[in-house]
Amino acid sequence: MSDIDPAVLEQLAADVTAEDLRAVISASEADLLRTTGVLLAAAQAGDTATILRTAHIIAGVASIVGARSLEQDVRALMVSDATAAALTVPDATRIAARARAVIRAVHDLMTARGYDA
Amino acid sequence: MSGKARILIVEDTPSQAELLRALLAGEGHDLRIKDSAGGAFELVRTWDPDVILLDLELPDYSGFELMRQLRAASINTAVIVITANASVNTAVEAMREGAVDFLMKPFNRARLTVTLGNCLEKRALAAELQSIKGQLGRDRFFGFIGASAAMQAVYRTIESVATSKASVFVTGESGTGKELAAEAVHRASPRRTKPFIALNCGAIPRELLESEIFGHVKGAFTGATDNRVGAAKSADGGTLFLDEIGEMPLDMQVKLLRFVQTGTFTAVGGSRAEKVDIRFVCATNRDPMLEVQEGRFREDLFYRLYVVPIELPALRERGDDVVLIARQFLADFAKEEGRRFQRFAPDVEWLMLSYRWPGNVRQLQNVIRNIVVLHDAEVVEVSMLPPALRAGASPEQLRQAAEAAVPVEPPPAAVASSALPSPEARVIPPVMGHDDPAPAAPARETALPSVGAPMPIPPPPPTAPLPAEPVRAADRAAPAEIEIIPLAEMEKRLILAALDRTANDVPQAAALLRINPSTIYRKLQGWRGTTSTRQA
Repeated sequence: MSDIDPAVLEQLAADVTAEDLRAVISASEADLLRTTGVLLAAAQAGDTATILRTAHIIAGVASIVGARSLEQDVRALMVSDATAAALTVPDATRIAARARAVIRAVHDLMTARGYDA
Repeated sequence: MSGKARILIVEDTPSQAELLRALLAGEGHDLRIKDSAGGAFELVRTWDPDVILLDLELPDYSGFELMRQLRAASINTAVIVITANASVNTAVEAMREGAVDFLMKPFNRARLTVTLGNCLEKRALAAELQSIKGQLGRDRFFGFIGASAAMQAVYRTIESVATSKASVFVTGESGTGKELAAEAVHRASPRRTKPFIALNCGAIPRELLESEIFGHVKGAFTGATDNRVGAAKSADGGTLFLDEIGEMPLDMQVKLLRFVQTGTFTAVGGSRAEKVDIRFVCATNRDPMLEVQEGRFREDLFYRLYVVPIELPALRERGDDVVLIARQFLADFAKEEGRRFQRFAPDVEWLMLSYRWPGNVRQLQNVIRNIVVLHDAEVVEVSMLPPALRAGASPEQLRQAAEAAVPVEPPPAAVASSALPSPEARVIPPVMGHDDPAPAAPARETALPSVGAPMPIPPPPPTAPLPAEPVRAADRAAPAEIEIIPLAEMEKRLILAALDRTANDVPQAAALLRINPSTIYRKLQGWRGTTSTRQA
C-alpha cells in the first residue's frame, strides 16, 4: 500500500509551477533525510527536547508530500514529553526507513504523473 | 487579495520555506525569508513588513517569544502563525500573543491566500479607520483650536474647498476667527507657497481703498509720491482676503466686481490693465443676505463671492472648546509674560463653560491675557476673573464646583447618530437647583464690552435657556394657553423636544436651547437612572 496520498501531490502540482514543485519536493526529501537522522541520534542520546522538536518538523514535511502514515507516526511522539521520551532506537530506525520509502514513493508518483519532466 | 504587500516568512525548515515562497509566487508581494527569530526581529525593525508568516518552532527562541518581543517594541506588524501542532492550546496561545490568524500544516494555496488576503484587508481597514478617527477627533486645525462637532464640520469644509479656486465667504460673529479660517483655506490649498494678502475693508479710509486694493501710480492723487503696488498685484498666484467686506462702499464694490469677473485691474491713475490670478476669500460679521436686501451690498457681487460659505460658530456653541482654547492661551501668555500659571481651578473652568462670550475667542483671549498680566500663581482662581464671569455663580455653586473636578475631554467623534448618544464619561458640574431664585433678566448688550468694564449680568449657569433678547414684560406673563407644570418636567420636555427636532444631535439641541451640551448629557444620564429613559 502506498504511503503517499496522491491527492496532496496533485493539489500541490496545481498550486505551484512545475519548477517550484520540483524545488519543494527536492527540499522535502533533503529535510526528511536530515531530520530522521537527527531523530535517530536524539533517540540514541535520550534527548527528549530534540525528539519533540524534530518530530514536529518531520510531521510538517511529511504533510507537504502527503505521507500520512509517516506523519501519524511522528505525531504520536508529539503528544507529550513522556511519549517522546519513550522513543526507542529501533522505533527511530523504523521512522527513518519509512521516510526513505516515502521519498521513493514520491519519486514514483512524480514520474507517473509527469511532474518531474 | 489586496495590492502588493511586504511579507516576511519566518521558517527554519527549508522545505516549508520553499513551499510558502512557491505558494505566494505570482501574487505580486515582496517576500523575504528568515530562518531564526532573532534574524526576523532585526529585519522587521528595518524593513517594516505588513505581515509575518511565523513558524512557532525556531532554532534560537520560539515564535511566541518573537511575538512578545515585537509587542514590547510597539511593532504592530500582523502575525499569522503557521504550525504543525494542531492543539487548541497552541491556537489559543497564538491568538493571546496577538496573532491575527492561525494556519495549520498542511494547507494549500487557496487557504494561504485567503488567510493572507483577509489579514491585509483588515490592516488596510484599520489604517483607514485610524485616519478617519484622526480627522474627526482633531482638536487642532491650522491656527484653530477646537474639537467640538461644530468645528469638525468647519475643518471638513475648509479641506474640501481648499483645493478649488472657488471664492469662499466666511461669516460669523466678531471674534470667531474669520481671518484664521481664511488663512486655513490658503494654507490647505495648492496656493500655500504663494502670498496671502489680508485687507480689512472697514479699517481703510474709503478714499484710499481703491489704491490699497489696486495700487496707484505716482502723481495719481495728492500724496501719491511714488508708484504703489496694491493688494491685488501682491496676491497674484495666491489668496486675497477681504475682511469686513460689508464695509466696502458701493462705488468700490462695482470696481471689485469687475476685478472678480475678469481678473484684471488698473492701478489708480494708471492706463494699463493688469491680469492676475487670485483666489478670493471674503468675510463679514454682518448678515450678507440682509445687506443685499437692504441695498448696502450689490447682489451681483454677492453671488460672485458667496460661492462656498463657511459659517464660524460662536464660542458659546462650541462646548468644551472654550476650555481647550483658554488652556492654550494660558500656556502661551504665561510663557510670554514669565508667569507660573499651569492650569485653571475647576470652578474657573466651569464659569468659562457657563459664560456666553459675546466677544467670542477674541474676548476670551483678552480675559486670559488680563489674568496673566495682573496675577502670578500656578492656578487661575475665581478671584482673578473679571467681574462678569464671577457674577454668574452663587457662592454655594462655586463651592460645589470646586469640589467636583471638571476634566474636559474632547467630545465623542460621532456625535450625530440616530441612536440617543450616551452621556460623556466625565464629572458634570452641579446644576442650578430648581429652588434657586429665578435669575434677573439680562441687560441688553450693546457694543463689545472690554475686560474690566461694567458688563451685562451674564445669564445663569447652563440649565436655563439664555435668551438672545432681554425678557419683555409680555413674555414674563404666562398666557392662558401655556400649561403650568413643574419646572423640572417642563425642562425635560424642552430638552427632549430639542433632541427630537435635531435627530438626537446633542450639540445642535444644546445650541437651540442655548445651554451647554454637557448639561443635556447629564440630564439624560440622570433620567436613565429613573424609569423615564429616552430610547432612540
